[in-house]
This record gives sequence, C-alpha cells and structure tokens, in this order.
Amino acid sequence: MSSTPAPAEPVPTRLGLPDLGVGIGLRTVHYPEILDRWPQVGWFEVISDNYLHTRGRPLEVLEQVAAHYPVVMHGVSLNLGTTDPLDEGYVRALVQLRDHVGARWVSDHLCWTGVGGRQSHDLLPLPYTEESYAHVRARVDRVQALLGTPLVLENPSTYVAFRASTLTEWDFLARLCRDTGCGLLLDVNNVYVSARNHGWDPLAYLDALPMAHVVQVHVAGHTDLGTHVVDTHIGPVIAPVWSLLRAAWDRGARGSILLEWDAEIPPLDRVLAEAAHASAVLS
Amino acid sequence: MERASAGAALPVRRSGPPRRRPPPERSLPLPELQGWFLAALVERPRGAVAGILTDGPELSAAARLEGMRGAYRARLVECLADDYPAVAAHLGPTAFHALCGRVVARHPSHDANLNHYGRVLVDVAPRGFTRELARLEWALVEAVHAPTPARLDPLRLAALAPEQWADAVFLPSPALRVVSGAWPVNRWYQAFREGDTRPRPAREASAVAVYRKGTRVWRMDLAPTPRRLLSALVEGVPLGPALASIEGAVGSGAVMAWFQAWVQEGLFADVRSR
Repeated sequence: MSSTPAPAEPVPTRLGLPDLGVGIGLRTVHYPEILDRWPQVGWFEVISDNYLHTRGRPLEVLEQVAAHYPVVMHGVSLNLGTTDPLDEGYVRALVQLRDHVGARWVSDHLCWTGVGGRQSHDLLPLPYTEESYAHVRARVDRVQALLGTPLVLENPSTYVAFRASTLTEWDFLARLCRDTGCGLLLDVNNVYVSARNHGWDPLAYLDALPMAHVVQVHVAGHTDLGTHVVDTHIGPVIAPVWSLLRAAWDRGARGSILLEWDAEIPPLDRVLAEAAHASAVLS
Repeated sequence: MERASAGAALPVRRSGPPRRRPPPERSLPLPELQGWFLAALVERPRGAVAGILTDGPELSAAARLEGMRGAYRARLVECLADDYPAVAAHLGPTAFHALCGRVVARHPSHDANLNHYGRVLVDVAPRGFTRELARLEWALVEAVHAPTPARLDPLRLAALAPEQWADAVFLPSPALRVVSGAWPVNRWYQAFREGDTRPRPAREASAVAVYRKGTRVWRMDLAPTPRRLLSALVEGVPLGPALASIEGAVGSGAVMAWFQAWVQEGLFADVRSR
C-alpha cells in the first residue's frame, strides 16, 4: 500500500512577518526634515551598508528614526551568489545592527557583487543553472542560520543573460523560496525592467512566484533608453509598474510596500505623496 | 521617459527573428564564469562575448555588456563626488572626473563598503590648494563617521588639583581633526558652502579644528598659537609642556578662553592625570 506524503504546512502570509503598510527609504538628504517633524509614514527602509563601518552620525540618526518608526534593513553587499567564501563577518555585522535598531527583517538581492577579492559595486546577474541553484541554496541556508530568521531576497533587475542558463529566473526564485523558506522582496519595477530587457512576460513571472513568501514589495521609477531600461530609481513610478503592483496583489502578494526614489531625490513631501499612491492603486 | 495611461496593457515583448549565433562555447563552471564576467566589466572582455551572453530583444550581447561596463567606475566616482563636493567645484567637472579616473585606476576597490574609500583621493590630488582642500573635506567625512564623542565634563576638569595640572593629558574627541596648511582652505570652503565658488586664493597659512556635536559637524578656525597648543594636546603632550611650548606668545586670559571654548564645544573626551 503506497503512502502519500502529508500535505506541507501552508506558509503563512509574509512568512508571518508584519504588514508595515507603505514606507519610503531613509535618505541622507531628508535627515534634517525627518528628525524635525517626524512625518506620517508607515516605516523606513535603510540601506544596511550605510550604517555598517560607521560609529558616527549615520548610526545616531538611524537610532532616532528607529525609536519612532519600524525600520527594515536592505543590503547590497551580501554577495550571496559569489563563489568566494561567504563573508560571515558581514552577516554577523548585519545581525548586530538588526538587533541594535530592532529592524523587522533583513533583505538583499539574488545576485553577486564581486569575486576573487575584487568588488564591482554592482548587483551582477547569475546564470540560472542547477549548479548555481545548488550553490545559492546552500548560501541562503547558511545566511539564514546565521541570521536566525528568514533572509528576504529581492528579484534583480538585469541587463544581460547567460547562454548557459537552463532555468528561468522566476522558477529559480520560486524553488529557492520553497526549499529554503526564504522570503521574497518582490520588486515589481525590476520585473518590468528585466521583462523589457529580456523579452519576458511579466505576468508569467508573477504567476510563478509563491506569493505567501512575499514579505515586501518595491515600487520605483526607472530610465527608459529605448533599446533597454535601466533601474535607476529616478522619478515617479510609471503606470505599467503600478499595474504590476496591482497584478501582484491580485495574485496574493501582501508584502509591506516601499517606494524607492534614490537619485535626483525630490523634497520629502513629494516622495511621501508618490508612496501614498500605492494605497490608491490597491484600493 | 514614456508615460502610459492608467490601466494600460503591460508590454509583452517578443523576440524578433532568430539571429545567427556563433557556436556555443563550452559551459564554464560558475567560478570561472564569474571571474570572466567581472574581468569583462572592470577591464576588457576576454574571448567572444556572444559565446557566453545572449542577445536581447534590441541589443547584441556585446552591447548589453558594454552598457554595464561603466557602472563600476561610475559608482566609485559617485562616492568620490559625494565626499569631495568642494574639490569638485574648485576643479570643475572635467578636471575632477580626470582626478577621479586616476584615483580609481590606482586604487581598485576591494571592500564592499565605500564609507572609507574616498581617503585615497587626498594622496592623488594635485599638491597645493587642491590637496589641502581635499584634506579638509576628508576630515569632515571622518568626523561624520567617528564614534559618538563623549564630552569632557567641566566639573571633572575643575576637580583637578592645581598640582595635577602640569601632568594632565587631554584625550581628544574621536571626531576631532586639526587640519593645517599653507592655504586658507576653511575660508574658501565656507564661501563654497554659502554658494560662492571663488578662484583659488593666495597662499596664507591656516588651521581649522573639525569636530562633531550631536549630528552636526563644525569647523573652528585656529590662529597659530592656539593651533600649536591644541595640536600638542591632541598628540598627548601633557598640559604643562604644551603650555610651555607657547610661553610668551599670549597671556593666560587668552589661554583660558581657548580652553573654555574647546571644552564647551566638546573637543575633548576626557582628561587624565598622570
């Protein structure tokens, strides 16, 4: 008599992490105004790396902000996919910062940033193969063991693709979520950018993702150069990206929403107004 | 940037007719592939790009890679521009970007964190006014990132017995930097901060104390005699010998006024009696 495996435990929405509503990035240019008037916003996302390797003013500001708002840490230097040894010191520094300011979760990108001791300071694409999958899966497991909590992984914006790839990016991410229990930072602008750059169907991308794993959602502007699109985080979010947010929502994504506006940054009220549009899109 | 009306259909791009592709190269193991890719970004691609990367809907594999190649240098230049806005204004965009190019070429980045990368620009900047201005701006960066300074409690200072004064050693705030040189860089920098980018000034020896109170970084001009005294104290010279080094240059009233200002501004973290 054959036995059937017990059905897997359903994954709680956002992996059980809180819904923080709509937030914005904490940016240096807005520090004085934020510290002066404590604006109405759900939460702040901080770039983890700006608050590591410093014991001065950036940390003081973050401590004050974290005393007033929920904060979330978003990094760019985990270098998850590198074939260099994992920088466990970096992960421990993230843990220390997270615990110091009470960050609700820690995220970074499905990418690599350097190898052979050299840094590119860019989020570099991975080939999507069984070899890279096994490598990244082991890395996620190790990082999560060090964090003691799920790692939240952002889908990247990419501009090149490897002929060696045998898997789609969306299937790679979906498998990673299911095999490791990691969370997803669903960047719908990155889905748009990558779909334009590679000729993908963005809705097929969303269809493949396990939406219960979506802890956070990014919306952002970009720069359209005609032949390709660059994820510059400049400017307001365009309508097709808002539509992707709606499409993700319709598919069950309930992550906390964050507007990224990281270059040519306007006054704080403009950024807040753009972020608030997310609520209108989902209403 | 194109705008679409609300609710517009999402773009679904389809590939054009298949392009003629070169024969596929052998599949590189992941470490080798990453080494190839990083070298292709920061140096030059080795071998046929089309054997490793795919064409896109609009661009060839080589063109897609070329679009990424400038990002490494651009990020380091952006970091340097953030740390040295006054040097950038003084040199102008062309000369500043040329300086940044020399910095990046001589000092490739090995650390993911760029908070301290900019230090190397001071060594590469042209000697003279530019280098001294860079030194001032780097002192400001260091003041930002220094640990939250403890402030010497004036009561602790007052509690020192007179016979302890000569041997008292003052511990500087971690955020304190004394910047001195042959050019009036702080005066030029102040004008720059007020929106007035002036030509290079005439040579004139100057000194400035850079420090932080709370979240704000401050600059305090130092005349020659207080500069000599403060520099000696910062180097750990006990108070007695430090005062002896300026004996006769100024009266005790002036010295007391400097001390009061320095303590009030938080230039010292502690005082220890030997």
